[in-house]
Amino acid sequence: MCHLNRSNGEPPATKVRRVWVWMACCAAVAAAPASGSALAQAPGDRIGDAVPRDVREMYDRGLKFLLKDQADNGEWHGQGQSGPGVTGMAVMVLLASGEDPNFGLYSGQIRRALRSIIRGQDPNTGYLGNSMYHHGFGMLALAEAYGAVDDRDLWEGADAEKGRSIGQSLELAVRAALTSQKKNPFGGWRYSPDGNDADTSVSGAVLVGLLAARNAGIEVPDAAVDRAIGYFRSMTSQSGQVGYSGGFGGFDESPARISIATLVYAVARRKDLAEYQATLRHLVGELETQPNSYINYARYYQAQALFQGDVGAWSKWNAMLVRQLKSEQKADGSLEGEFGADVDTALGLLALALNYRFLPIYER
Amino acid sequence: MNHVRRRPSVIRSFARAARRFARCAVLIALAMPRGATGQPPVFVPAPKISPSTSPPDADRSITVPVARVESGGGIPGSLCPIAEPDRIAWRSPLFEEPFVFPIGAITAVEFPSPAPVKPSGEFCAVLTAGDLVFGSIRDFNETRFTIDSPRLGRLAFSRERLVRLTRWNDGSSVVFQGPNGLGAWRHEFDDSRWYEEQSGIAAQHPGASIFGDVSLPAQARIELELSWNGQPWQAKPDFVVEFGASPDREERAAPFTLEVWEGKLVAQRETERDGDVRVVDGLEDGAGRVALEIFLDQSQGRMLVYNASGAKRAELTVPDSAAGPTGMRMTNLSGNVRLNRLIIARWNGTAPPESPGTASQIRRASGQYLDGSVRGYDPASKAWVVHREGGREDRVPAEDLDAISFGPNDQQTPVEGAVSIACQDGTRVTGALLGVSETEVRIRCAGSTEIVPLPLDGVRMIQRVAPADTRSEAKVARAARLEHDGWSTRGDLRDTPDGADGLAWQPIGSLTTARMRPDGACRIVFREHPAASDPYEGIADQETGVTGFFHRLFRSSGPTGSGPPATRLAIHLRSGDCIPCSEIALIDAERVRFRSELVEATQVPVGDLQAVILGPSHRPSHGDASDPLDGRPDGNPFDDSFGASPEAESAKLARLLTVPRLQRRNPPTHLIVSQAGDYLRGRLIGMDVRGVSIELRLETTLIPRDRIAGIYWLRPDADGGTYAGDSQDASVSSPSAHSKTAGPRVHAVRADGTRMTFDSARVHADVLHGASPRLGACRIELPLIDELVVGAAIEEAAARLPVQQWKLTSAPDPSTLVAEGQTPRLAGTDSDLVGRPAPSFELARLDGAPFRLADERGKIIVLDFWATWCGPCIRAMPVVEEVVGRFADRDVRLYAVNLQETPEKISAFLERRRLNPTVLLDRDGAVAAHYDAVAIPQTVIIDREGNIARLFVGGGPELGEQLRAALEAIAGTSTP
Repeated sequence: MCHLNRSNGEPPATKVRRVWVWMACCAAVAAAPASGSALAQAPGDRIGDAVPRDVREMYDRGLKFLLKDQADNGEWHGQGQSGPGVTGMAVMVLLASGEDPNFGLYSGQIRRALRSIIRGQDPNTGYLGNSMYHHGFGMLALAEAYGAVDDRDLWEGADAEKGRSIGQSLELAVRAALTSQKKNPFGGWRYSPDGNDADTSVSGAVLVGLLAARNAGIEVPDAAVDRAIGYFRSMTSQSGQVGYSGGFGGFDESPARISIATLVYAVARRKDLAEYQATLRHLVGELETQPNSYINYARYYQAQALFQGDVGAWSKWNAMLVRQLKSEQKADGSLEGEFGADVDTALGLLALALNYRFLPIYER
Repeated sequence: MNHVRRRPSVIRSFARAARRFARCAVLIALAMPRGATGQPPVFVPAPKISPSTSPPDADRSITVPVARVESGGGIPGSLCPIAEPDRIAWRSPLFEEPFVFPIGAITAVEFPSPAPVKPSGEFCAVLTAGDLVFGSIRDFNETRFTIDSPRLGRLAFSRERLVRLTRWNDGSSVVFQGPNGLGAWRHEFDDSRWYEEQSGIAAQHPGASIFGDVSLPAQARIELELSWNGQPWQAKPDFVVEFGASPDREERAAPFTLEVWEGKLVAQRETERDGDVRVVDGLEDGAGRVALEIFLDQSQGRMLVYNASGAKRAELTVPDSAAGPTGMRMTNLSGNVRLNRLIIARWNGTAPPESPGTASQIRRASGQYLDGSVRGYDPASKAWVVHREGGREDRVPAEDLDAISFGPNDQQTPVEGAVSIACQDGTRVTGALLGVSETEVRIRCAGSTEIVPLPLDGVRMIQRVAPADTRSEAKVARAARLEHDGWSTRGDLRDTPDGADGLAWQPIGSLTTARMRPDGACRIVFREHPAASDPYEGIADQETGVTGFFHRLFRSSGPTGSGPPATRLAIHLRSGDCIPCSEIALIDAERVRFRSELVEATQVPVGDLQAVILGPSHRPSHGDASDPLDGRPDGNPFDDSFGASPEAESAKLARLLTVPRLQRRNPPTHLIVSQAGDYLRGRLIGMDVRGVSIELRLETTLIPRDRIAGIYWLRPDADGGTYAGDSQDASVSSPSAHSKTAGPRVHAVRADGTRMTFDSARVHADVLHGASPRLGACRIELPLIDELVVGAAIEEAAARLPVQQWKLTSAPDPSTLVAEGQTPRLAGTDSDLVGRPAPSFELARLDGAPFRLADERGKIIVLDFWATWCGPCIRAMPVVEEVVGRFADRDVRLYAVNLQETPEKISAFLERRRLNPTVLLDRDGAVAAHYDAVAIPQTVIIDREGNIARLFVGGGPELGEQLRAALEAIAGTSTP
């Protein structure tokens, strides 16, 4: 088990299989570095008991709903928004289920989805499309799949074309993100890759994707990460509140943005920052605070931020999340929200997926 | 003849003054809501009308058959066959068997009548006791007469019963014949109505007014009989009968009227230009009666009034250009009045001569009177045998005679008999009730020997005329009241007979009991709730106040209700049940375990729970910030001013039930009330011997049981009213196999507030037994029951309980978002108060000095409404203090108006927070109410002129900047 950190832009020659299932994970633990590992969680780090039955059932119902909405070309065009970001979220939901991504129940769906993300990528710029939100979530999905999904046969049987590998696509996507950031005076990102201002919401999506790529072994220059973190620090108040966009809004009670900042500080391994302490303190102090709009978006980040920062607080928050989702999930397994059932279901399930902790980005 | 002739203008003003004075008084009384004075709008005591006063509900029109009972009220249902005489068998749909009443216990049996039917027959025979029979004369002699009635068959009556014979000719010339009930009339005021009494319709409330479109022809002959009751010392009757009235009271019409002026009956008319009034008769003190024949020619504006003897009593001519409407209106102004007979026929316009005044008057079709008396009738030649003066006998063809009056017989003279039966066609007969079959009622008419089988189809009313059975009068006060289908009757729940099952009810006067059907729905009131006696009772009755609610709950939760018991344990179910318990052992995620003497069950699912009462709650006298029950960091909002006023209570209750926006997805599910009277919202995890586990801010806390008075289940508004019965939680099984009992489902309410819902089985030795799928076998002593709700009415009654009103509501969303493209409005100018003069007030400052807003004129005043329990206020306070401080040199002053807290608490809070604003004490929230402070923090800027310049609600991150900008604009850049 090793990570490749190649700087020549070439994808790793050898496919690295990351291990998803629990037993394999146990076997792999001995080889795992102490930190920054792309490995699944070591058993000793797991908190609490086995995943409760009601959580598994909720997750499976939601999955079933999402699978029903996948189009033949691998995308999600069902209900609400669509694009590579949405496809990416769905890929992560499938990966987080714990099923073997190569031989398990959903391997076919995962491959189809990944092919659609790669197929939609601009071969020259690496831009995954639609907006930098989609780019960020698409990149994150590629990073999470990279090394886990055996892509030697990714394109086999799929049309006649032979597309890029996951690694190639991920490297391209990283380059696109870096190029966009270079042009950005704030060191962050905005909806358009050419945007000349930034907001903490889009920036969070892209930066988490970059950090996940870095964790997966793709080279991401430290300077780029530092610059993006610098942008987030500039948007974080002493009280731990996080602004949206320079010049607009100001600080207010946004659990989503506070969580995004906490998460990027943590995944960038900058828990030493005072801003990280402030945002985490704010989050833990306002555990019950939830927005009334874009709730699943907030939950998605809140779950990860709390898990990264304070497992005890996450555990309490998670109990509330499970209770709420139980009452909110519809009979068909979907969750409702402003983004449409596909995105909101995916985000809600990914918040819940912290209970499984199969996604590399969920590692502490 | 007594004529009053005055100049028209004088008459008009006199008439107007007299009439309007009387009507205004009555109509004002009618317009006044009953609640306004606390008294019903009745000015004079209603006199009794014999034989008995009109029973309650007497003026109520019916849509289903109803038996009105002597003990008051009525029973909707249907008439059943019975062979015995003078008995009524009546079946209510609530009961399995019919009740059998002696006729003396029944006032009337009424059937809803469709549109009036015109009777057929050659003659109309008016008999004593108000009876009317239509048909052709078969035989007539000195002692008897026989009539062939299409409806009743051939009937012979003794001659004494005959009052008058009128040619009817199938009613060809008659346009209205009645009153025959109230079917043709419309009540003009719902709370003072006419009602049916004996053979007429009557009114005894001032202002009771009815209108009927009687199709009054332009030339009409009107037979009218009015009567009234009263003692000689009582006021004389006062009424108005209008002929040619418009259906719209307000519409200007000039009807001819008969009305009472200064104790005299007058005929009058008043038009725009002219008016006339003539005295018809003086009215005697006490009871009285007037029978008139009125000839009305609206085209000529002429009215002729004759008395029963055919003597002309008044004539007046007041022409009007417009043809009058065709309606009639009768209004009772004071006293009482009854319309016994009203016949309206077409008239040829020829005024009849005055009658000769002989005992038997014979009027020819030509209108001329014939001297002599009728001796017989020859059916073969259809001729009357008339004995003329001088012994001569004439034969007068039937078609040549219009009417024959037979001497002084009073139409209202009572006759022997138990009942009077009125038919839809106006036929009415009085006699002995011999029996009832499926289709007929058998009667032997007074003065007749035949037994008449009268088809029930077409009967409008069977009315008792025999004296009432007074033996049951004493029982009425003690009896229970059964309410069903909007009707009520008195009676008793009896012990279920041996060998039978179910609930046996016996109305007062009934000879039998009947079993209540299992699917019946009604309410039985054994005792009215006692009148309010303590100061909180009123609040409790309003079912809104926090104190009221708890007061009521706690008052009702003790096992006996006599003084506070040592331990008061009870569980309240969502069904509305409240079961006193001897022990409540445990609450977990599925169930509560308890023991109660009243029910067999020892556990119920938590889904069915509304509250669990564990001990007494005391009104607190002070807040205790260290109290573990208090989840808020800065004390309890309800401690010091609890019970201040109903408004304050309901404001607190509203606050207690409001979910903040950010908690909307994670609302509290339980309310814990401490024995010290504090409140805590959270999520109950469970309860065992150690205490109550509750999740607060996602942390679990254990509270000792002896600190807790009660646990209340809070349910979101969306869930409101959807509870349809016991939850179907199979994991908490019922105590014993439940099989359907014989009686209906009942909800028993005890005087002490215990409420239990179960399927009734039987009453034995004054104990009501039953069983419930959730509670198992149940027992409750009848003498302790105040009220028994039966069947479908249970859920309705439960929904009215105060505890059911407790629904969480979401705090409203702010309306700060401005749609794209719109110019944002200046912050703080949304409120309607902006631009208006600031409401003046005086309050005490925290340091005790008085504060008057009026004294601050010329300065800019910032009022910051706050409370120590309000997190956003506390966050906003330093910001407001800092911003206002920057403007101190421009005469800007900040006053922090505290809402309803004690000085001690405020001082302690300010010290802890190191804040130092000038605090004003709005102890009862009155000033906050003047400034529309429904949500705090609210920051108000009052300019130098004393007008409200800005009003900010909710604080928030922008407040500082907005406040600064506003003060810049208002205070200007330099000190004036």
